[in-house]
Formats: sequence, structure tokens, C-alpha cells
Amino acid sequence: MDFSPDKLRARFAELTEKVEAIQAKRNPVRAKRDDLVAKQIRELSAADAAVRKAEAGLFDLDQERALIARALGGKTLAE
Amino acid sequence: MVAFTKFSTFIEEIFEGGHALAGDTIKVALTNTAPTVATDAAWNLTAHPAPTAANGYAAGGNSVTMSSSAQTTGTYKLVLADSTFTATAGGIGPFRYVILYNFSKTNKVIGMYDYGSSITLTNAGDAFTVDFDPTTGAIQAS
Repeated sequence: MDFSPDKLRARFAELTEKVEAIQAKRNPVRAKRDDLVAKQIRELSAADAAVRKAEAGLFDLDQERALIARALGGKTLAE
Repeated sequence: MVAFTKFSTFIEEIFEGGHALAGDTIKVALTNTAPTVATDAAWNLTAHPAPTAANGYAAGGNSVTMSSSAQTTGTYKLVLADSTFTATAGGIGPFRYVILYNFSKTNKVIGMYDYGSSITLTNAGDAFTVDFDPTTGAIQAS
């Protein structure tokens, strides 16, 4: 094997060309994917905020129901 | 309070965008069939059948209310409200396991609780409460 600097530089240039060829194909599809994710995140953030607003107070109600159910030994209706 | 056991797949899903716990709909389901924590990936009625008597039991279980999903000094905590199942005439049961799963993300499983023996809610109004720790959270990770 020839590991002379000239040979190594030639091989390096050859690899760089191959890498750049793959990157050229990859970049547009990756950009498309990243745009999709960014759009999803924006839409989800808005939807999450709407859900949180609609659920205001629910946590405390759930906790109190659970507390009472436990206090009654699970018997929530009069026998 | 019954100990939380995570499904093995949950840990991978966390790092691969499989969950967005701050906004997703989290559910708790009851079953009398032991889940396989090493391999179960999603909640479904084949692997985790509903209780035989399911009067007052919503298909797929209860949606759980989230209080907070946040980290403090690098420790993440998901705080959930306790979830109460209330039977109607005919009751609910038997069931032994409670499965926590992500309804918004194709029912991917999160964790489970083993109550040690089968439970049956016999009468209308009988209630079973899944008690999530409000201090440490239902899930904690660091």
C-alpha cells in the first residue's frame, strides 16, 4: 500500500467528493423533514395551550374526588 | 402506594421522540393479565384485556389529568392527578394491573402498577383510585 502524502491527499479528495455527493442528495430531504417537525411543533404548542386552558381546575377536582373515594373506602354511593 | 414499573420500550421512545408528555393524552387501563414489561410496546386489548366485568369502565380506561411536566436541576417529573374508576351496576373486575400509556402516541406504554392480587368492584358506586405520588410524580427521570 502506498501511504505517501500525495496518494493520501488524492484519496482524501476522492472521499470528499463522495461525501458531498451524498450530502447534496440528503440536504433537501432533511430540510423537508425538519420543516415538517417545526410545523408540527408550532401546531402542537398551540393545541397544548388550548388543552391546558380547557383543563383548568380539573387536577384539583380529580384529586378531591380521589381523596373522598379513599375516605369512603371506595363506597361512593349510600348502601 | 404501589410501585411504578416502567416498560423497557419507554426508555427508548423517550429519546426518539415517541412521547410529548406535556401535552399528550395519558391514560390508565385496568387488566387482569400480567403485562410483559420487557417487550410490550403498546397497550392493546389482546395483550392487556379489559376486566371481564366492565360496567362503568370506559374502553381504554381513564384519561389522566396532568398537573405539571417539568424539570428542576436536571430531574424531570411528571405529576398526574389521581384517577378514580367508579363501577356501575354489575361492577368492574377482576383486575390486578394498571397500565399507564400514551393514547396520543399510538398507545405506547409507559409503565405499570401491580396491585399484588385481583380486585373487583362489586357494586354500583364502588370506586378504585390509582394513586399517583404528587411529590415525586408518576414518573421521575434524571
